[in-house]
Amino acid sequence: MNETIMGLSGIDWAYFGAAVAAIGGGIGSAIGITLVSNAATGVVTEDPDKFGRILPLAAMPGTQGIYGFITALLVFIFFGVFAGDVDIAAHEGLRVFFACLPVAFVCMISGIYQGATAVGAAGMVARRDEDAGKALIFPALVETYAVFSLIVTIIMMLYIAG
Amino acid sequence: MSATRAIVDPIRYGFAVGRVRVLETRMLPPSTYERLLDARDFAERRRILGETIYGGYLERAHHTEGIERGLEAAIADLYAEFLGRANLPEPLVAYFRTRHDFENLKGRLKAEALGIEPGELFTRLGATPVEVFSGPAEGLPPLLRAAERRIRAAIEVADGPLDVERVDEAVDAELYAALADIVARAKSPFLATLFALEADLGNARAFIRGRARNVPVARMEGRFVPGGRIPRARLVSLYRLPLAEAAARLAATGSLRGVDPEALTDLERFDVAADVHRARLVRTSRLIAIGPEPVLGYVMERLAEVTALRTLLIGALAGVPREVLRARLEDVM
Repeated sequence: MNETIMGLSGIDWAYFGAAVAAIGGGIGSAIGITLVSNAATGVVTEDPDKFGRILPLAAMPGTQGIYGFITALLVFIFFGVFAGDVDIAAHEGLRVFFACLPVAFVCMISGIYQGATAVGAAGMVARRDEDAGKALIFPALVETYAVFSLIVTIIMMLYIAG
Repeated sequence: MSATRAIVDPIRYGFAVGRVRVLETRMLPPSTYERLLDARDFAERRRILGETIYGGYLERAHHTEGIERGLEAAIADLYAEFLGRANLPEPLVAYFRTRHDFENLKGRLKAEALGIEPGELFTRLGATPVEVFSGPAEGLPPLLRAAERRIRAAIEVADGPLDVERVDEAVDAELYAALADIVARAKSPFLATLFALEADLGNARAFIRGRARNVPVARMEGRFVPGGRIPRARLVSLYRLPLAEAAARLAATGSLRGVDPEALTDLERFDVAADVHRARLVRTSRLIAIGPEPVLGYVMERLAEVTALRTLLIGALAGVPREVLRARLEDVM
């Protein structure tokens, strides 16, 4: 299939979508983890015993990067990149690109804000060990929307692939 | 919180705020003050403080001078860690350091007026090295040099020595003018509120001291500094009232609301109450998850703690009865 949209073929658009999803999720996670890790290292500097309780908070914004990675992987699996049998029409590739956008944007934004929320949660853990469970809940609420975006992306891709 | 602040503040202040959140839990609890008050002698108090962060600072202290030195070292370390290495904006750091520079300027002028060696009057907590204050005026930083020139012009008796009685008010007026500049530069609503409170507390202190020394109203007008929420004219009118009534009204005015009226009649108790009142405002900074405010809040709470400890330890050494000390520390406890 030689047709293109804006100079990009179907597989080009699919790759573009996979890349945007991986980049968006990765940026969100990298910034989110940086934010919470700064506060977490401050807490652990003064009280090393809190490491175990604070680690889940620091790791939590990492999931957005994973969702971006999963999205990119699904693009490769659904559209035969690994099998070496790539045959996507330009308009179909464009749809794949759009299907990747929910993860790309929502994971980038939610990763950053989850990190910012986790900073406050790290303060809770610093004060009271027994609040470690509660502290996890607030950043976890932000995670909900990253999960929704992944579900939407997967549904859209299943529809396109099916 | 803007999107930029949501990213920049945790990166800039995250480490310091993380430390502060743990260190806040290690502030002295009321039970430690109780134990310190109940202790038989200074050795026992030192042993009790040995279990706290002050242990290392006071282990060699045996008398007032040693306590002062130890507590100053504690503040110096606090400043070095949280003002020096916490990435706070320059005006916020200057807000704390500048007052010590003016304290040293006060020491320099008082020593000159009294004809004594100024060494003991200096603190090492300022931004300017102490040695500079012993040297000629040309060696002072421009801000302090200009302030000193204006102070001298205001208090120098014609062809005579400096009027030592007026050093305090003249230096305080310059200090508050310098702090007002810093606050304007900082563009921090938190610092602006803090400055207004400090001006009110400084005026309240001048008020109590003036009443204790029977300073006439006319002299007091120049002693109240600008910048507070309580207008100077209001302070002057309250100054004319009987002390108990004036204290009651003062405690219901502007940012002094919440201060125990009795603390406004006794200078020793007022110093502790003022620090606690300041800390109360500062404690609202705990509600801010990230930013310079929690770090500043912690620094100020520790300063209040040091004031309380100084009152307790030095008071006890001087033989002040336990119940009097307890009354002075009531606000902390």
